[in-house]
Amino acid sequence: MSCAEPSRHAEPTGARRPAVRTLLAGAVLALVAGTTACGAGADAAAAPASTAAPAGTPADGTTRQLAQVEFVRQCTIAAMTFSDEAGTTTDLDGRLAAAGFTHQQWKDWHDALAGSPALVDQFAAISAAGCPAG
Amino acid sequence: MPVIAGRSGRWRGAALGASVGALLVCSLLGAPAAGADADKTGVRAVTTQTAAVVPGQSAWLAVVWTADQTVTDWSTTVTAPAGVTVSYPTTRGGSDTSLYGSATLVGSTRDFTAVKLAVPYTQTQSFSVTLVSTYTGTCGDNGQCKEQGGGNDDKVREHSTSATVTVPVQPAVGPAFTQVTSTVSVAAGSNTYQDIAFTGGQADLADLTVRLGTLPAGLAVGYPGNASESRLARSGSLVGGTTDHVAVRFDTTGLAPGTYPLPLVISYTAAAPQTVSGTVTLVVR
Repeated sequence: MSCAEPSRHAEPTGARRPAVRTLLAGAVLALVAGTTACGAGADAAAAPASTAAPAGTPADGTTRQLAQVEFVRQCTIAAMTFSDEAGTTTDLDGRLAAAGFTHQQWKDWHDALAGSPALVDQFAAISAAGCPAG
Repeated sequence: MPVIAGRSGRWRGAALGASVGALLVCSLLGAPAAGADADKTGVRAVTTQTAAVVPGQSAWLAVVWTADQTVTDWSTTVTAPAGVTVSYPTTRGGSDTSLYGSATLVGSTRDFTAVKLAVPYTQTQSFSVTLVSTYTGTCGDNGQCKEQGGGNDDKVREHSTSATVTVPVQPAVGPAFTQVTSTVSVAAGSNTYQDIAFTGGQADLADLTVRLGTLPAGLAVGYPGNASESRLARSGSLVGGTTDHVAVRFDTTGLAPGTYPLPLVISYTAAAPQTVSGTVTLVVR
């Protein structure tokens, strides 16, 4: 959620009191969440960091870099063997570190894919050229 | 694979229209008997051939999947030829594998399943494995999708697809193993265990043991458990590409400071039992 994004706690029912309570609760939640998000945003601006990605995460330069790392990995992973179970994660973390990211940033991005058409479109656009030959 | 068998039976029942029970269930649920379960997800394997393995190797391999529509609850099982052992990630309990990122494959993206194959030394030719993946479609007949579960019409669409993938087998190259530790350094008059490490080549080496050969006068050695040889610390096998070590106790109480080349007798089983020699230099300070 961005700092300017409104809270989404509207009740579609005609019950006024529950709706008021819900709105109040939503306002409190929005205040807390907004404060947290804005506080994190200051740090995020200093580094190529992507904080916990909520549903509907917008695509930006950071998500593009993460998508590029993931696309290259998907292009090469089937040509690799790993001697232990953690090998795939070690490989991923090495790729992420080289691009300046952490595993958690990748996970946040990956988890956000299901709820973000923008991220999916961005990933699809990067994938459109196909994997490099060889 | 009970999921597939069950689905198969349901298709037959719907097609024949012979099961009154099935008709009643369908009527009560208001679901069309045929067509509703058609797999429109476009799930398919991208990978047709995995990385190559060598005889005697155990390795985790990946198969990449993609889909047109988002699917959830992903599960994959693998069937391999006799002699090739299939293992699944311990994180899923060991009976199946899923996708790396999660159990959801988001439409228009890719993810992969990882599975461990242990190829026997007798497997010298390329072979095929069959992957059967089950998943739940999240999109309704109108193409609108939910993030989880059934489609927007709340019908749960459980599907499966299979893919046959080639696993190339090629001859191993390079040494069976590399001795990592070439020198051990101990204090004069000490009696302590020292590690001698080895890194496997491409294939696995079973039952790897190490013992010292003829020793210089004044030196005594021992092995864990008062055995006559030392075994690998992590497991009995040196898995290809991994590093493990054996422990040897050097009793230098009767040995003058100096440098002593010591013979090693290294035994293991590859395609057949083998014994080779090595050397480690003991430096007594």
